[in-house]
Amino acid sequence: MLPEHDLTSDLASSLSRLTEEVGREHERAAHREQIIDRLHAENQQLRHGLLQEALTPVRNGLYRLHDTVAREAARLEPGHARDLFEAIAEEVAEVLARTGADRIEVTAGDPYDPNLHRPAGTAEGPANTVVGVVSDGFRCGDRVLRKAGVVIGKEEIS
Amino acid sequence: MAVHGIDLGTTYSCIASVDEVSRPTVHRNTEDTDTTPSVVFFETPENVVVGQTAKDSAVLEPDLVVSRIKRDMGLDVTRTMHGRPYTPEEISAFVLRKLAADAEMATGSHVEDVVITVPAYFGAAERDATRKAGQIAGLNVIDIISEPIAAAITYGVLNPGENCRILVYDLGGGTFDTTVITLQGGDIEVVCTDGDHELGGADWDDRLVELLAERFRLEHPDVTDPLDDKQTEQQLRRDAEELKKSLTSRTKHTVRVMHDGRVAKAEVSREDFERLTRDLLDRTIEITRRTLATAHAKGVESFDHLVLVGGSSKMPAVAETLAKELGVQPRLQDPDLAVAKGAALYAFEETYRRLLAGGAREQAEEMAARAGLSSGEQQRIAGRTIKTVASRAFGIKAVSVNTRREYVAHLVQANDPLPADVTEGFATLDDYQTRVAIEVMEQAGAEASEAVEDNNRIAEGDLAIPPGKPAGFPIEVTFTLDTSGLLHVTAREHETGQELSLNVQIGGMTEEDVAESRASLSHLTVS
Repeated sequence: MLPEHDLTSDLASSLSRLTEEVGREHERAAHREQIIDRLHAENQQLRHGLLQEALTPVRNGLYRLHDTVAREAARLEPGHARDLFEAIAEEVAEVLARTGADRIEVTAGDPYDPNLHRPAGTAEGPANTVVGVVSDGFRCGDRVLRKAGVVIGKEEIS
Repeated sequence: MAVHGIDLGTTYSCIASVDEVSRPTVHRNTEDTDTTPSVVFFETPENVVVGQTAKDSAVLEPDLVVSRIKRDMGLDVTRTMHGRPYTPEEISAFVLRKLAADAEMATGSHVEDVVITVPAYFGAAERDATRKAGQIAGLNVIDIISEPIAAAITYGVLNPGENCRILVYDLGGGTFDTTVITLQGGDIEVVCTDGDHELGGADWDDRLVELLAERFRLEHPDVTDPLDDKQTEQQLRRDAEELKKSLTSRTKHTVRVMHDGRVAKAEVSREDFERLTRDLLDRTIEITRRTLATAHAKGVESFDHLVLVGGSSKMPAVAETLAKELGVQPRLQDPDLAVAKGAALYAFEETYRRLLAGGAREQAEEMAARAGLSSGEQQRIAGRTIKTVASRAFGIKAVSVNTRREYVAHLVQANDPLPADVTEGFATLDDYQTRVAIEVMEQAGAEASEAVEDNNRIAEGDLAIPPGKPAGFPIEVTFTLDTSGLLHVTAREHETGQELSLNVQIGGMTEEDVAESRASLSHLTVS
């Protein structure tokens, strides 16, 4: 049998080794937990993002339809045909709204905002102001899905 | 602190870093896209806008918008905006600042240490300019690496321990590059590189736009041309892009071209598209074959992997034709982001290796632990090195004694392994010369040539000669080219020990200029 003090010191050193090891394991586990938390949060966002991304080609097709019909309506003389084209464009915007894409309200006279407007050209008019809308923009909450195509005023145009 | 990899592209740029589970991750910008247009808009003297909004602003202020600045890297040109001249390095620095700021926004961690990628054909001048752009942006550029190497790292890391020869086919929006790389025992070496810098996916789009317009013209010759109307033209560009995408999964697609109150139905099959663009694809195949022939001459007689990089390589005809022509099944994985991801992996590994080499083992281990690397993986990274080759030949202007003809004597040849350290002896031409002009030349074209007009002068300096020396007084010139392609030239004469040291200085930007730019541009806001 070993002397008692040796046994005690052995036990003490084993215990301190064990404590150290448990401490390291604990740290690693905490690190893993952090990662899992983050992955979980990202996964939630991703699931939402994937849904949104699946809608992208559908929305792109609808934007195109909306643009074309609205453009043709604008070309027509006032009358039944024009009303009909305008109604179709409105219907398409309604369908887009049902996918979560709301129309960005832009009217001539609005100050130019590069976050909402994509300049499609310039024309004579008050500087840095929207003078015409060539295609509607759409947003989903705070996120701009498509900027509105606008014509921006430039004061002296020779 | 994370280290980042940056793909600073001609049309688009991208930033990535290695995450907690040692995967390279691309950081989206504040506009929620993976890549940011490399376009800079000098909105006011105090504010610079980078990215999609800058691209859109070209319609309003074309003179204040700069795109494709990468093509000017290494050139001594400036663009004056609001009365201040900006060098290509400074303009690129704005793109880098936007990428870094957005990555900080996305991850919450500060971006400082970065690796920036450049095309394999970039010479000393362009590489140096790219490094300076990073410094002006307030970044610590730990290295500049070639894009195909970065892409090969993304693929190479997926097959550790596998010796192989890789052909990288990179078809981007506006450029095409091919490179042969060997991977041996984890070492990556660039064997040779080639390409066409005026050929890219945009050429395929142009053909489709023209086809759609032509179908409309045929059906409605009595109305205006659809390409004369800005809105219709823009719509046709979008339609062409959609059509191209659609033809990757479908064999035919119909586009209704609407213009001036008329409509033309254009049915386009995949065969139509491929026939229409066959010569473009053939051009890439021809260049690929030329690259393989160069590699063959350098002892790389075949290859194991064909790696496709660049968004345009997603077109099915690319992979099909390459497989048929070269007999190897191409690998296509994340072609848009492979370069940035590879740069991030390289940045991570290189930092780890440098910490170890510098004796900072604890820091290195902490870094590895944060990325969740096992000790085996750590050892593998520690042992991996990257060797590169000179992208062009370098030399000095010399005069032949007998004929007095000026020519370029190349000390370093294209594809010589780096780092290269070459010394050659020259001599004075006339009796009692007091100085010798040292003009450092870099190969300009695809092939090295000793004709002066086929080389660009990239640096110059004067070496003083002791008085009273007859013709034939010996001088010695040493070229030192480091692994990132930066050149240092020393010329000396042994009698008095006179020495001339030249650091290749491009676009007139000295280290002081860089420090000054960095300070003066830091007051500008970049959004």
